[in-house]
Amino acid sequence: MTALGFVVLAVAGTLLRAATAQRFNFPTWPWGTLAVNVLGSFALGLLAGAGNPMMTAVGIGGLGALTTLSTLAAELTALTRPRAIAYAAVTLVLGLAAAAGGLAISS
Amino acid sequence: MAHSLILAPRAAIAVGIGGLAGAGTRWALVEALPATDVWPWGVLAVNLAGCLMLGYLAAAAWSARAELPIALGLGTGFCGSLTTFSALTVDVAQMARDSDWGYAASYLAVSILGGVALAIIGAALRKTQTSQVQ
Repeated sequence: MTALGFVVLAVAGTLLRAATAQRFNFPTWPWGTLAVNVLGSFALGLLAGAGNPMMTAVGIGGLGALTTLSTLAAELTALTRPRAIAYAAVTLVLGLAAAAGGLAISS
Repeated sequence: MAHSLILAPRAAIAVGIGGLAGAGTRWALVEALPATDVWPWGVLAVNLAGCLMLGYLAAAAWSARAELPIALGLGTGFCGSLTTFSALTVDVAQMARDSDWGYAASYLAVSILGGVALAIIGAALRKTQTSQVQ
């Protein structure tokens, strides 16, 4: 059951990230990647705090695939330096705040 | 880039297969290299490896080949899902909550700065190979 859930949610998370990136990422600011990374951090914070048995399927599969570090790193190398610094700062501040907020709510 | 929420069917299939392979590889690595009381080594390993690989692949992102399903499957699918941001932020937030500030700051710095450095190295490797072919 865990394996089936993992397969379904990993594919769904990947496709949701790809569709969001295709629709909302712009050469000057990757809104789509920012959105999935922040929302995914909040959701995983909620899940992790609860000690949830669905952690493997939902957390490692769905939310792990929804969020991404490699795309973030590639985007940081492609943006102009001031934009890259701003994008990195916004992603980290919002992502960490979202994760901490999710943990605080669930634990 | 089409500003639509709907992926082209062949691109969606490639991205889905790549994403499943990437997430499955990450799961296996997380099981094989569990978190110690220092850092989550499995997550760090897949994150750094994925940044290097996507840096290599993204060096061709502005060529026509980047729109091919195989490129989307490997880049957006495999690398995107091999790496993860949510596990990084939640682990750092938990370290900070436990007042492990040194571990939190160093793990975050190695993940982000290391990831960007490896993406740059990956792109440089690609350019070296391309110039050798030409």
